[in-house]
Amino acid sequence: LIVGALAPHELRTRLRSTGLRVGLGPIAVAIRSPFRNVMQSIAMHYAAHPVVDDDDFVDFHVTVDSAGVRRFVKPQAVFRVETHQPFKPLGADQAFPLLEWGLNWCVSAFCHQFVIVHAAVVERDGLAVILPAPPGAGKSTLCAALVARGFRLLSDEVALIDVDTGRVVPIPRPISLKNAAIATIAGFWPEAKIGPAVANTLKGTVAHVTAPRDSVLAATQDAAPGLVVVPRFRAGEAMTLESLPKAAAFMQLVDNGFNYSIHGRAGFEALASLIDASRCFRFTYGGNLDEATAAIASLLPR
Amino acid sequence: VNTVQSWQAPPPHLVAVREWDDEFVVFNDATGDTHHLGTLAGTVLLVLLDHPDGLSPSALEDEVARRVDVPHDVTLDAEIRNVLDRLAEWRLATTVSA
Repeated sequence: LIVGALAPHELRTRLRSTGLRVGLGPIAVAIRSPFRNVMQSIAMHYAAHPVVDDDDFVDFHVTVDSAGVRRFVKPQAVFRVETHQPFKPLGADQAFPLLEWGLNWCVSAFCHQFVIVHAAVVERDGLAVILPAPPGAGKSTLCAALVARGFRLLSDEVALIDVDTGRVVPIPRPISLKNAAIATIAGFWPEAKIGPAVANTLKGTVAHVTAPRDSVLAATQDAAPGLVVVPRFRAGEAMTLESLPKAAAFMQLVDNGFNYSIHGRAGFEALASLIDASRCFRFTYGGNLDEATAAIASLLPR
Repeated sequence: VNTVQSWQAPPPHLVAVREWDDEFVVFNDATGDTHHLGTLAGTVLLVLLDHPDGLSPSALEDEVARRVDVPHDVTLDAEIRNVLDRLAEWRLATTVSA
C-alpha cells in the first residue's frame, strides 16, 4: 500500500487520529496533523511512499498541531516528536515546511546508526554523488537540477553513511527549494511537481519538489560513494570545477557532519573509506544549470 | 632549567592517520578531535608515531628532513618547533623534560 492509494477521507482520518505511518527509506514515521495544507502536501509529495503496517515499528511519532488558544485568533502550527517540541510555533500556513524541517531534525538528531552529513546526494549507475555544504550554498538547487537530468534522488538534505559498509543510504523525500531557486527549477524542470510556495518563513519563501517515483521506489537500494563535490552557487559567475585534495574534502564532510563526533574513531574510518572511494571536487556554478549538470555528469564513468 | 629531552606521540593505537597526496587527516582517540595536517606536520607526527619511545629534537629534525627531502637547516628547525607546539596543543605530541 502506498500513500497515494489512500482515499482522501482515509488519509484525513489517519492524519487526525492514530497517525499516517509512512516509510521513508531506512526509517518509518507516524504523522498526525489536523491541517488541511499538511494533508494536501502529503498527498502530493508522499504519494509514492509506502504506508507502514500498524503492527510494524515506527521510529518517530510526530505531530504538527495547532498551538493552544491561538488556533482561534492567529492560527499557529507546532511540531512535536512524542511530547518534545524542538522548534517555536510558526504560522499555520507554514505547517508543511515545519513538518519537513521537523523530520530533518528527527533524522539528524537521532539516526545515529549512520554518520550523517549535511549534504544532498544523487546517484547514477550505482555511484553516489555527495554534495556537502551548509545552508545557502545551492546544494538543493543543484540536486533538483541533477534529478531533472535523470539522476536518482537519495536526499537533498542528508547523506546517511552506513558506518559498517561506507555505503550511502537513500532517504528520498521532497526537495526543499528557497526563494529564487523555486522559479529557476520550475523553468529548468517543467515536469517537476512543485508544491505551493510558502512566503515569510525563517528561510524566506520555500516550496517543495516531489521526489520522483523511481527514486522513492528505489529507497532500499544504497549506493557506493563515487564523487564528493563541494558546491557553491554564485549568481552570474562563470562555472569552475577544480579537483579538491582528498584531505580537504574529508574535512568538508567533518565540518558538515551532524553527528560525526558521536561516532568517534568509527566515524573517522567511515568517512575516510568514503573519501578513499571517491573523486573529490570543488564546484562553483552560476545560473546555467544545463552547464552545471553536464559538468557533474561528465565526472562519472561513461 | 628544564630542557626538552625528547618528543613523544600518543601510543600509535590511539591515533588514526590517513594520508592522501601529502596531506593528512588525524583522529585523536584521547580528545575525539579530528585534524587536517599539511606535509610537514603530518610527517612530524608519523616520525613520532614510528618512535614510540620518543625522539630527541635533533634526531626528530634529522629524520623529518630526510623524509620530506629538504636540507636540515635553522629554517626547518623553526618550522618543526612551530609544528610541535601545535601538535602539543592538540595532545598529539608531548615533551619529556630533563
